[in-house]
Amino acid sequence: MRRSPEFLLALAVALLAAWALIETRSWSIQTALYPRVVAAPLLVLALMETFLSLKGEAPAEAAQTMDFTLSTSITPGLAQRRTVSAFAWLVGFLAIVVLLGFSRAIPVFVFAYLKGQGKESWTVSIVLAALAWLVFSLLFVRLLHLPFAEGLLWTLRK
Amino acid sequence: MGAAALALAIPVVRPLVLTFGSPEFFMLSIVGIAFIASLSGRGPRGMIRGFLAGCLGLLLAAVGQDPQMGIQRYTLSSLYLWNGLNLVPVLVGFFAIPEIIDLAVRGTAIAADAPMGRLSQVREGVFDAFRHIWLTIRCSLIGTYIGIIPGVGGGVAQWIAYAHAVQSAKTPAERDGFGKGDVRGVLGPGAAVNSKEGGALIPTIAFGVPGSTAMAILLGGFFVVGLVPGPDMLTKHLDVTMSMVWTIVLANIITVVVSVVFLNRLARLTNIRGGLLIPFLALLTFLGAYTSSNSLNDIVVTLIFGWFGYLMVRYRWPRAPLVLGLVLGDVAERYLWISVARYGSAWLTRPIVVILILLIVGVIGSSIRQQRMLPKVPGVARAT
Repeated sequence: MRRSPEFLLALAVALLAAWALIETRSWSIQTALYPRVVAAPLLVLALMETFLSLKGEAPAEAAQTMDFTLSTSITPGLAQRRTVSAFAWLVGFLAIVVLLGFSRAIPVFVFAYLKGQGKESWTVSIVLAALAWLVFSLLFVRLLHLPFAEGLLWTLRK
Repeated sequence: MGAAALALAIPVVRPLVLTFGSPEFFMLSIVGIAFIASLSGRGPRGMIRGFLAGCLGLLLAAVGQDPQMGIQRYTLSSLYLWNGLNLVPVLVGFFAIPEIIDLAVRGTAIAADAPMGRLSQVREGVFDAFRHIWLTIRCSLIGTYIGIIPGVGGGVAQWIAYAHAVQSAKTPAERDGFGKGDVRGVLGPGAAVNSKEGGALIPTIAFGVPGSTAMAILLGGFFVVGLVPGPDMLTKHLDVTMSMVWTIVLANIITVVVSVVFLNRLARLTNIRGGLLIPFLALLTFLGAYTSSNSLNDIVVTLIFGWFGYLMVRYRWPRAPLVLGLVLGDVAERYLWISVARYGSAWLTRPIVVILILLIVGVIGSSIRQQRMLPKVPGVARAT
């Protein structure tokens, strides 16, 4: 018996369902009815899936007809490294949005990604970063007047 | 189809819709999820995952203040979660982030080495709609009917039409083509989504019950100009009703013309290198999530659901039932509580509810029967 990622995913959902049911204990029937009706079958199904994952049955081909499948043309090791790297870039983008605010974070992120990850030339990186900032400023700030928060660094300085 | 349905159905639809109460509307939500869940994967294991995802979506819809008592549920003491999970950042993360990750992993353009389409292929697409005319009509009827049901919405119509298109495949080989370029996977949902507006207009005009947010806004417009939904819309103001029918027809024609004009230019975007596209896709994803309620928490939700969506795709858990559950959760909870409060447990014995329960059993049984007919396929090579 091997604890595969599928097993851990199913176990996590089972734990979530169990927690959701436990939370309903202190609620009135009006508040608790719907979560109980939904979480109880979820717990049963998640435990079944956990058990089946633990048994190591042939994987279901759930994504074949209703969803897209991830590329299989890349070696697993390289794919894993690129996946972690892509997630890291997205989390990094969020971090600089929080610190600098959207208007400063956008050119910084676009330039850093194109130059650092995309290995584009200086000219392409700078021009596209400036273009991204320009489109953002004209469309979202000037035209749509959407409120964008200042970055944490600027807020703390004030 | 939706426009034709609107024109023809108004006089006969009233008794049909009035037979539906809260128990029936609740069961319809469950039928929608059961329909998608049972078709999301092969074999009993795939069905377990489909129902599991559907229940998870319904549970996620319970996050936030309880609609009856205003008590906080699963909010983790966060003010942001009091209003529940905002659908936009969840869906943006759930669908966009796995695609961005896959694009980064592949390192190629979206279209990879696929040749550019030509205008002649557009013509082929038009012919395809006529080649599969009965599927188009059936899915249009599905869209129209889903549109009539208040609160269910276009997303449901698309998924049910897609599921119907998959189910209508005659052989296992045909069924395997869905998701890999079979045009019926596009025709079905396309027909349904174009028909649902006509369907949604029926209860709006006939009974003043808006079928969607857009219809609620339209209803507000009716009152502003002094129009009252009901029998008057079929007699005194029939010209206004008919003008709506023709507006739907014209809107669809204009959409087709605009799409044909810009199709080739839009298609070229898929040939841009992934490395150049990813920062802009990430930017649009973040902005799309943020602008839904102008909160940085929306981006955090997007990233969390993006990560979860990626895990679901990677380990072949179907995402569609989860989305459907999340969308229908509010409606399902409201109708469930009204049913229990009004009828106790007797709501389960109402004739239409029993029919809908049998329909769910039938859908599951039919799906299992179809899957038994499929050849045994060894486990697909693990993705990334």
